[in-house]
Amino acid sequence: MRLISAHIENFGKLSDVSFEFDQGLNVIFHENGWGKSTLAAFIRAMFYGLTGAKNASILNSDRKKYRPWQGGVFGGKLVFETKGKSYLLTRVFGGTDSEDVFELRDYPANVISTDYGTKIGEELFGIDSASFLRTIFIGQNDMVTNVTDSINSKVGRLLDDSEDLKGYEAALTVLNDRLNSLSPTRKTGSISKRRGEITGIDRLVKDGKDLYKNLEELERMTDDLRRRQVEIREKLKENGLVLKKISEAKAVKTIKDHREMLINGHKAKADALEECRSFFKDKVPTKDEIDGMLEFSSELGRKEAERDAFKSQHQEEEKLKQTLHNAEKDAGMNSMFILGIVLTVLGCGLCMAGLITSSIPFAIAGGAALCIGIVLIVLEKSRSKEKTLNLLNARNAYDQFLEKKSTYDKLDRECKDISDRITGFLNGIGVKAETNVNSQLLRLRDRADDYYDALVLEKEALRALSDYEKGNKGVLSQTDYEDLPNENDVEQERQLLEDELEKNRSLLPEYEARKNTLREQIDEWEDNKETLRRLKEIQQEEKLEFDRKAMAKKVLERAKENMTMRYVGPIIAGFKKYYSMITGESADKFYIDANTKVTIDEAGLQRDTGLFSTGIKDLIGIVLRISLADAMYPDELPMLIMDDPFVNFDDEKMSRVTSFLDMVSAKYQILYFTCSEFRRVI
Amino acid sequence: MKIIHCADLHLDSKQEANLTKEQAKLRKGEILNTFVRMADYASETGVSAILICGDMFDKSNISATVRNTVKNVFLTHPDIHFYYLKGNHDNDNFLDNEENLPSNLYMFRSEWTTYSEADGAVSITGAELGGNGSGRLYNSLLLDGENFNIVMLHGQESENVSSKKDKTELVNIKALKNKSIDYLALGHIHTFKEERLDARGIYCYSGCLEGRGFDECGEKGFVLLDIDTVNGTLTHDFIPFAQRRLYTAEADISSCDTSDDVIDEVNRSLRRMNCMDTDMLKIVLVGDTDISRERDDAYILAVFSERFFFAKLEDGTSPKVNYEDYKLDRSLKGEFVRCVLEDPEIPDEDKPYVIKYGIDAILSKNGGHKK
Repeated sequence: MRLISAHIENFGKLSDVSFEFDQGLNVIFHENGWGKSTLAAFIRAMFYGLTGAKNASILNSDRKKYRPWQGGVFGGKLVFETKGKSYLLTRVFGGTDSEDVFELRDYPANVISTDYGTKIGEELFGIDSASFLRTIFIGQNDMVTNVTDSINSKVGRLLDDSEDLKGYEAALTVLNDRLNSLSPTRKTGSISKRRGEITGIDRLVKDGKDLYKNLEELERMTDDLRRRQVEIREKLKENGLVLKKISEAKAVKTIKDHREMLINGHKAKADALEECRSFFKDKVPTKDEIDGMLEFSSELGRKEAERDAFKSQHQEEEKLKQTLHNAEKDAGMNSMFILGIVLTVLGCGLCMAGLITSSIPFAIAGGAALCIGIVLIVLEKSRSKEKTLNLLNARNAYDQFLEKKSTYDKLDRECKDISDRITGFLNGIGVKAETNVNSQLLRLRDRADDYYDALVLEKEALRALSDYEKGNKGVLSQTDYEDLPNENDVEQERQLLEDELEKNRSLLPEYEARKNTLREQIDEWEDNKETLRRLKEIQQEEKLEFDRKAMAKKVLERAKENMTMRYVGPIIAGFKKYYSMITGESADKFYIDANTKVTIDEAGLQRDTGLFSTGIKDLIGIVLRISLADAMYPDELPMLIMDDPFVNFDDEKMSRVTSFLDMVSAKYQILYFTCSEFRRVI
Repeated sequence: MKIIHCADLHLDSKQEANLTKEQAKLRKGEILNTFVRMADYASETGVSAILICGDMFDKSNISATVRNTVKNVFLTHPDIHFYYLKGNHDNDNFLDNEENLPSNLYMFRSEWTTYSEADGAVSITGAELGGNGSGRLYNSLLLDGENFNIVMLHGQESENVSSKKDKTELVNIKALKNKSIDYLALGHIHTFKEERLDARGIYCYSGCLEGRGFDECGEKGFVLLDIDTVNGTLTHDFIPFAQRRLYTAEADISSCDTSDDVIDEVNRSLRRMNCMDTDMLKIVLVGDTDISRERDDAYILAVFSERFFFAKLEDGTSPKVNYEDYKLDRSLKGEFVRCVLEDPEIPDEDKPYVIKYGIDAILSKNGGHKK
């Protein structure tokens, strides 16, 4: 395609200016600041629209940069020819893309044409605006040519095939994004993150691998403890039986000891009783008897005292008796005779009484009276009246005396009786009477009291023993337990067992709690294991995906390189041709890769051309751009816009620029802008 | 006399990993409710006893809801005798610690325990396998041949070597032959299975009541036994009882060109399965798929997720590359395929996937495809 003419209404500093363009080389010579670059930008803007976001800076926004300061219509017209047809392209630029006006008309028919749209530049040249800048537009100090996808695509002529080479960058982005999201080395990569997670959970799983063993151990300990509890209870039972035996043995012994004690007590009592009884030799008098004897003794004392009151008169008896005797002797027999009869009768009576009562005193007294009576009878016979009077007197006196004597005798008898009774009593009990019978009797009474007390005690002791033996017959008949252990030892053993039982009782719930905790941990551990398994599964899958996608990326890059290399060939050929043309030198030391990056072999290594002088860089850039254009447009050629690209060339190179331009302009329509007369006339 | 044989309830256990939290919670509740429904069914149909052959739970930390519901089932069905034999997943649980167990709950120990039903006409014997004493255990089983004898065990049918790797015990079927067993009620295998034991009896795995994951697909339920105590004969049926079923639908999409074709193929598989919308579905795509064909797994999954309670998709396909198509392809795709094929460093099994990923990326498909 070629440009025919351009009219600028207002664009940057250019206002209402027109141009006509010829085939081949068109030199546009103006001084600095005239607007050559503005014209070049206008042509680009007509095909591609204006660049720059609304809020971009003026440097980064063509819209802001080229908005006419003087106002007016911001835009212009361009007439061009392509594929044998001419068109009139009109654009008016507003504040934003949406305000821009685009119009295409057939030229010169002036009929609206729909052959191309607002993206006319892409449609005509097959490249985007950025690629246009890097190929068709060759500006000064702007020779860096990094290929874009559209350049590559154009170079590869793959526009027709789904734009997949254009989509290479997008494909690489998709792969890279996925690889980055999976990355095993990036912190944000899921494989990397999961590795940490797996390590963490793996550690938990490893740490917990003994949980089952611990639970088993705890269960074994619990079972052992339960068994031990059963054992302890059995032992306590046995211990209880032993204690019971010991207790029974103790009870038996206690009972037997008590019986022994009772026996001994009874024996002591019996001994005491015997001692008391032995005092009495034969019969032991009763208390009543002794009291009776004591009464007798008191009575004896009274009677003796009473009798003794008559005792002094006893000596008189002899005198009276003598007198009576004499009187009787003298009186005769009558009184004596009566007396004798009386005595005889009395004597008989006493004898009879003595026989009946077996009282010897009575018997003796009776005998005496009898004898006297007989004697008197005998004597009486021999007395007379005086005798009788004397006798009466004597008899009276004697009667009185006798009466007294009788009283005395009676008392004496009574005393004797009493004494005899007492003596008989004492003899009856085997005790010899003492002088002071009363005292003796009192002592006897004490002794008897002792005896009877001892008897009571002995009887009580015997009853107690008997009752005890009756009440404990069974126990007492038991044989003694043999070989029983020491009670303290058994008690101690019991205490130890009970302590252990209690301790274990509190341990069991503790074990159960620990088991429950362990089971919870095991549940968690199993969950962790499952999680670990899943994570490892996912990790493996993602690693596989990562590796395969990494391979895909590597191969994709290689495929793209291979492809572009296929088309880099012509670029290299063109580069060499044009380089040689300008420099007169071979370009063999230059290398161009699939990204059209140019390196130069210097001192055995490929060096970046960016390190070289501006002139060399510009030369390389120009040569490369023309070569790219050759490769990109084998058929419909675009125009080339050169904005003073040789400004940094040295004289030697400049001398060859003319033939270079001639050659290139034979093929391309060139718009060559320069402000230098020297560079204009080449 | 009617008896229900069930097993492997796994109440309160983990559900399928891909369920949402809400779905998982709902499933747990459904599984628990199925146990309740089974007890109600038993009451309504005159069942006298329910045999639970192990794994009623599978963790020690049982939630209060499950604990209370299970206890309530026992208490509200006092006319039903529940026979509970612990399995390899039943650790010491709350039933071991309960001081006042329901009077209609009968449990077993490591030695044979026998209970009597139907006035002695039916005996139910069971033992919890474990430790090294299992061999001795079989020898000590003595049953009265006059009775209808049911034996309950939990374990994997096998020979008499017990595994040390996990706590699963093995049920030595051979050692149980000719022991006057009429019905050997087993638990551990989660799918219904029935085989002849000997000339007299049969052995049966009731399977689980509800599936929890896609390794437990198909109909689940319990076995209903009807024993004629006079003649000593048995009729029995498997009763499907699960509220939801799990299905794995395999679809060969080798001939499918588009996502809609894949959906149609999956639907064809589903029609053969009697799958209902309340069920849970795993779709497995198999076959060789051309890498250039359109297939959007997310879209396919969304279609079935909307229809079923739960759906998940697994890509079991192998990418197919017709290498001849790319031999003369001048495009980047062609160059890429040729480079992969010619690269000796790429293993052959990886090449189809590398090509698929590369082509997908070139065509700007989602580069996040898994295998």
